[in-house]
Amino acid sequence: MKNSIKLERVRNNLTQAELADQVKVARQTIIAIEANKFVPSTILAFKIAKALSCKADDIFQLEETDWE
Amino acid sequence: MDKKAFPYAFWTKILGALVVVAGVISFFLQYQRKGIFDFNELAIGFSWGLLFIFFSKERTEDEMMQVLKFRSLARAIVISFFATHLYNYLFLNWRLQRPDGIILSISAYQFLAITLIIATGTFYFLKYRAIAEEDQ
Repeated sequence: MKNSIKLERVRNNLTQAELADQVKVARQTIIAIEANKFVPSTILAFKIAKALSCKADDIFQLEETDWE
Repeated sequence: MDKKAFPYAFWTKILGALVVVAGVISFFLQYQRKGIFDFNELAIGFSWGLLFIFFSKERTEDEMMQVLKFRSLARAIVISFFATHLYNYLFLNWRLQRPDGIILSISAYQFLAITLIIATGTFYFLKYRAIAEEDQ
């Protein structure tokens, strides 16, 4: 699953630490999610979407490999 | 996310580190007194200490930390069980020659210590790799 968190975060003028603070996770977790190294749970995905003032669908997209 | 996945508070990592150090000191004191390397004594210190270090909460406990810990523990159990079984099999079944002072078989304490050493090391490596992505 790919995401456009970095883009939306910059658009919202938020740092990784600020976003991490808002959704109550470690900064490393935001780094890993942005780098597509970690897929967040549904709850965390919705929290991130809310913090970035957009829908979860807008920032998370399924990839072909997710169907395998 | 299960917020109670890891039972011990962050500060118990310090307690764990102290127990490991006490185990190492005790190991060398035993050698000075009796002239033998008591690896079981060392393993007891490591297993108790690393139990507190590995199963305590991180500074910011979240779902990624829990996933990384689960992955680390899963890998560590497989690797250490394979290594322990191989060692025990070789020395107990094949009766391979071993130098004096080398233990015949791996005890439960030693197995737990090996598992927790691998799990803790893997966890901090995976955590470091997540941060390293940012530096690149």
